[in-house]
Amino acid sequence: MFKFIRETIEFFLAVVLLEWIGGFIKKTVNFFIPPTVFSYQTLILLSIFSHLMSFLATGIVRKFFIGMVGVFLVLGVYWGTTSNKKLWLYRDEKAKPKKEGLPLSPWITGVIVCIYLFITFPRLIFGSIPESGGQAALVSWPIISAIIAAAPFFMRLEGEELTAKTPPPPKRQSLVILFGINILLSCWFQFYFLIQNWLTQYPSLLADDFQQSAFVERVIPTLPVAPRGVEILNAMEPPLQEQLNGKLWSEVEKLLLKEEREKWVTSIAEQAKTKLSPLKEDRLWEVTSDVSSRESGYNLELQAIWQGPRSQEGKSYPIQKSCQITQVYPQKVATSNVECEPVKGWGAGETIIKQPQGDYLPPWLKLPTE
Amino acid sequence: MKESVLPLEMILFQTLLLLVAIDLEARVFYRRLNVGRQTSIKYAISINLLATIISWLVFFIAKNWFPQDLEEEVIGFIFFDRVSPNQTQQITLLTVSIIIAIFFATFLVKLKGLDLLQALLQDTPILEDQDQDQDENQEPANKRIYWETLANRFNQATVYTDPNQATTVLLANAFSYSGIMLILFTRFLLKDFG
Repeated sequence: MFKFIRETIEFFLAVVLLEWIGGFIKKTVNFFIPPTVFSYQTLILLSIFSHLMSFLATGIVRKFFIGMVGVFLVLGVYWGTTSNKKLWLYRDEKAKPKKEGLPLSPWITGVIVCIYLFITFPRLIFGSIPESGGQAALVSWPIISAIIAAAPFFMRLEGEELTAKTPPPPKRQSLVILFGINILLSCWFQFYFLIQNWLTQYPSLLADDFQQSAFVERVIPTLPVAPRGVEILNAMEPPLQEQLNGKLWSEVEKLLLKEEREKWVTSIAEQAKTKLSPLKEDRLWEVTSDVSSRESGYNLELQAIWQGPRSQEGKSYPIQKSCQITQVYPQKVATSNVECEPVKGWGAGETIIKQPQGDYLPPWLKLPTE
Repeated sequence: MKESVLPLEMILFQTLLLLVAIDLEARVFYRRLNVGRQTSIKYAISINLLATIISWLVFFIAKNWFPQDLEEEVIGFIFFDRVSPNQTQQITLLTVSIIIAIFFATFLVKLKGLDLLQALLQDTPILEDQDQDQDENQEPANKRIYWETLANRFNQATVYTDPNQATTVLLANAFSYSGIMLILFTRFLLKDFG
């Protein structure tokens, strides 16, 4: 009995679902069927058609078809979004005097224009997307959109002919403001990319916190990053081993003398930095060394200190790596053996970002506390 | 990871400061320039946007020539709101002179911006709709004359300045600067003692 009821309900649900899907498909198809030949759907269909044609063609013809996809798509989307009354801001046709309002269509069309100008066309012409293509597209998007928005005010349809005209003075004033706002938006995008650029050149900044900043904000709280000093110290280990391992003990002792030591430690540090792909922040990492005697050998302590900008002034955040140099006797003469411990200090276990204090990190990102 | 660092606070601050400047300057224009409220607000919006855009462009261009020391200072200022402590004396002197220089630079930009804006907004007496319908042969000539007069007006605007307008813009700039300084100073106080 229950089974029967359940099956009936499922049957009805299936019918409802099928009907809904059918309606959806019908609507989508209707959307693409042009009401008259002269409509924006025609243009979108044309762009789909040339996209299909581009699969069949090769070489320059294929490129031509892909180019045409862009042209038809831009025109079709501009037409479609401009004619859609919902995509106008502050439009009021009943008010007196009639409010023209601001169409959103130039900004929607601008997206496609920018993608085509800076990503698709370079790929068609040069065969590769330029590295800063995405950046150029985003930065120029507001300006290109403003140009698209302003274009109708400089044209006039006289009969069949399209002629140039100058917009009336009040329109000129709003165009000045429109361009001003959009260029300012472009400047903001450019500033974002400038920050990104600085963060690639100075990655250790990410290990600090930006709470005091009046400019930037970390939107998604992330686990603190290890500063680059950790990598530098780790990269110094192999050349250090090479320098000190398996040498005569007297020679090693000579190398550990202060003046001698400073020379080769800095050269090893330089090697490590260049090995890790050189960045602008490299000169802000100062590597120092210190030696203390320990049992029968020595303890060599390497310290990387961040000299660059940081959130808390007056404190230094050293990162240490200590290496034990001991005597071994594989033959009759004493030679050296180096063993290094993992890095300690800022970014390796302890961080300078106060965390996790409940709200700073979401629970699934919390570090296990000792 | 680094992509999630957005300049949101900069955008908020700049919008706030722009609104304050526009409000204060529009009041001054309305009092002294013999124009309506709407016009004065639009003038204020236009010239403040112009000044902001020009300062951004100058920054973007100048930063290519920054020596690395200066770049690190700028980074410290932008990311951690502090300049390095060992140069406090010089930095304050430098800051004060930069602020004064920026004041006069923005004054000039705004003054000339307003002159050019007014030149742009002047109605053209030659190009009337009725004239065009009457004799279409005249149109190219008209258009040429129109562009010539526009260029003429721009030339005049760059050379000549109405003294009353200059005083007004200077006053407006002083007002908006005081407002902005007050906000920045409040922020400084709140940050240090709050």
